[in-house]
Amino acid sequence: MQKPLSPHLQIYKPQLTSILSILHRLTGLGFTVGLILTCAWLYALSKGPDAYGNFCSWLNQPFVKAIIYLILASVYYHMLNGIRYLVWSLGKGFELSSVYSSGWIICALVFVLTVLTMCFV
Amino acid sequence: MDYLRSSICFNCFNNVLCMKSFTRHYVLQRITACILLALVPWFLWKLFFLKDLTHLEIIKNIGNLNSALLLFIMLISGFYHGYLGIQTICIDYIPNPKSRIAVVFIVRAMFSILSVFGIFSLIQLVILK
Repeated sequence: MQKPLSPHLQIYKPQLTSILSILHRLTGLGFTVGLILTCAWLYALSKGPDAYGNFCSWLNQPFVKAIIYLILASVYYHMLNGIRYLVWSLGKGFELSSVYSSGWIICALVFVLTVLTMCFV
Repeated sequence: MDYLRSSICFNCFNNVLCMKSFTRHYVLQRITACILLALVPWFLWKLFFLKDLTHLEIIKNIGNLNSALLLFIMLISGFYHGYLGIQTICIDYIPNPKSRIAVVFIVRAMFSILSVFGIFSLIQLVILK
């Protein structure tokens, strides 16, 4: 017997709950890219000062820097929304009003954290 | 048959017996999430202070046994959590069981290689220190 597929993304009428759920998966991919970058950073560190210097100068290119900020925003979002999922796993916060308010709070927090990172790092 | 010894049975998806592997997947995803919730902020905080240090100072800091151990746990949990997540996406959106198993197998192989690569670099840093 075949398992039925999940409804495809274009079927959903855009609403906060579905968008945040889709974003959780997309930012999970961003999180994975961040982990791969961490491995590359460790590798460059282990290869000596020259390799590390080259890696750092590559990281400082504007385009790469923009991607890193995007990855950081993904990490913040995935972590904060992950907390929300963990709370749901405990059977709490399922009321529609809580789902919406926690969703907006997470969006605001991700925005603030990303802007703070861009200002100070 | 439990394909690729994976936590989700791809063969008999609607079989009640597979609930065990579903539960295992669900629990492992949450355990790795909790580990990451503790270690990722720690790592980001560390990066914030490391960015201005020299290569040697960073190696001394990261090559420290405690930091290396925490980074090791973070990498393993991170890649495993990512693998479980991609597995769920494949289950949700790839209708053909053979393609689904192939994609999951490739992701699993890629993430294993990346984990080994990261851990190998980490071990080198501990030795260098």
